[in-house]
Amino acid sequence: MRTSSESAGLHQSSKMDLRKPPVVETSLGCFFEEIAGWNILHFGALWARFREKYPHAEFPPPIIQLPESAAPIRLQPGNTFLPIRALFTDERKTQLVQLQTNLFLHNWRKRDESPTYEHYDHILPLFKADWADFTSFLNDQKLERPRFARCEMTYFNHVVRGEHWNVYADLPKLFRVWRGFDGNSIFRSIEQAAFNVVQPIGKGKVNIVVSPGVRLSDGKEILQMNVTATRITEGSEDKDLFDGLNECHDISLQAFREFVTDDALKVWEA
Amino acid sequence: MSPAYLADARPVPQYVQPFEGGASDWAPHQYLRLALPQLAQVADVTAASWLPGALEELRSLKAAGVNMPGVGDFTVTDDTMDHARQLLALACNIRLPAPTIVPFSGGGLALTWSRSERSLVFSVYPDREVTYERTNAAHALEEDDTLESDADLTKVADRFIASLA
Repeated sequence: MRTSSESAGLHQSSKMDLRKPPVVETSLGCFFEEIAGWNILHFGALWARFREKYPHAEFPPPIIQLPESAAPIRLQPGNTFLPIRALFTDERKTQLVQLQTNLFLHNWRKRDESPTYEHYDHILPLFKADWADFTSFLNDQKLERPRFARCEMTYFNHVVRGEHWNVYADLPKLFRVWRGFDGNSIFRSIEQAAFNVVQPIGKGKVNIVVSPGVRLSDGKEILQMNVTATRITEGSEDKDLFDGLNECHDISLQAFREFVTDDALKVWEA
Repeated sequence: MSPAYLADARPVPQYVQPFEGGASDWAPHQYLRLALPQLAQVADVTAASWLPGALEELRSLKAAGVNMPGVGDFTVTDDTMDHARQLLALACNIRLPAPTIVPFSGGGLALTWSRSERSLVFSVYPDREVTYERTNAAHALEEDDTLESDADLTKVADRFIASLA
C-alpha cells in the first residue's frame, strides 16, 4: 500500500510500503442517486463501449443498502430495492468495473496468476478512464450526470490462520484495539471473535470490520479485515470525486497503520 | 462550519447480498444477509450455527492425529484440512445440518451429514480426491461417485435434502 497524496489535509501524510501486504482486493468508486431514465438496455450498450478493455461480463447479485426506515419491500429485479449489478472484467480477471443503478466501482483483485498487489497510484488512473467512459456514455444517451451520495474506498485484507496467527490469544500481536485476556480469564481460549470500529477521520470516516471466515478458493481460515473509508463529496464535478477518493485512500492508510501493531507490519514486511 | 461527516446523519453504509443457494432454499431473511462490494468469496463462520464447532473439531483432529503402527495413520495434512474446510464452507450455503467429522486411516477425513436415517458422506483423501456416498432410510446405497466440482457438491446435497422431504 502506498500513497503520496497531499490533498487530504490530514495531520500525517499517508505513505506506506508493504512487501507482503495482506490485501487481496480493493474497491474504489462512488455511490449516487439513481439515474433517471436508466434501464436494463443501457447495461448492454455501455458494455459495448467497455468491451475492448473488459471482455467478460457477469451479473452477480446486487449490492443493496438497507433502507433507513421501515418500508414495504417489493422484490422485483430491476426495481429500486433489487437493482441489477453488472461486472465488466478484463482478460486477466484482476481489474473490473462494477456498475449498478446507484454505484460505479473499480475493483482490483489478487489472482493466483497475478498475485502482485497493484497500488492506488496505478488503480486510480484506471478508475478515472472508466469514469470518463461512463459519463461520456451518459451524455451520449442524454442521461443526466450522477448526483454523488458519497465516494468510498475499501481494502479487503486476509489475515491467514497458521501464517499470521494461530489462536485468538495472538490477536493483540496484530490489532492494537484487541488487548486480549490473561490466562486466568474465562475468555482465555476464545473460539471466535469479530469486531467493528467506526472512526471519523478528517472529513470522512473509516469503518474497520474484522471477522472470521473460510476462504472458499483454498479453504484457509482467515480473519477478514475490511477497511472502508467513505467521504461525502464536496460537489458534483469529477474533481470532487477524485479529491474525495484521494482522501478516502489517505484515511484508509492512516487507519490501517494505526489499527494494526508494529509486529503485524513487520510480518507484512513494512 | 461542521465537518462534512457530521452533516451526514446517515449510518455507516450497510450492505446486503442475496443468498446464492438453490431456489428451494430461498427465504427473505437469507436474502438480506449483510455483504460488501467484494468479489472474493469468503464464508462467514456464522453462516451456519454448526460451522465454528466443526472448524474447532477439525483443528482438534489435526492436533490429535497420530500414526499408530499396526492400527493406522491418522495424521491429517494441512492440505486435507483445507479441502475439508472448503467443503464445510460450501455446505453452509446449502443449509445442511451439522456434520460429524471422523478421520480414517491414511490421513483422510469423512464428513457425514445424517438425518432421518439417511446420510451423505464425503470422504476427503490426502491426494485431494473427494468421494461421496448417499444412502437411503434403509441404509442402502443411493449413489456414490467422485466429486468433480463445487457444483457437484451442491447437486448431491440438493438430492440429499430432497430425499428428506
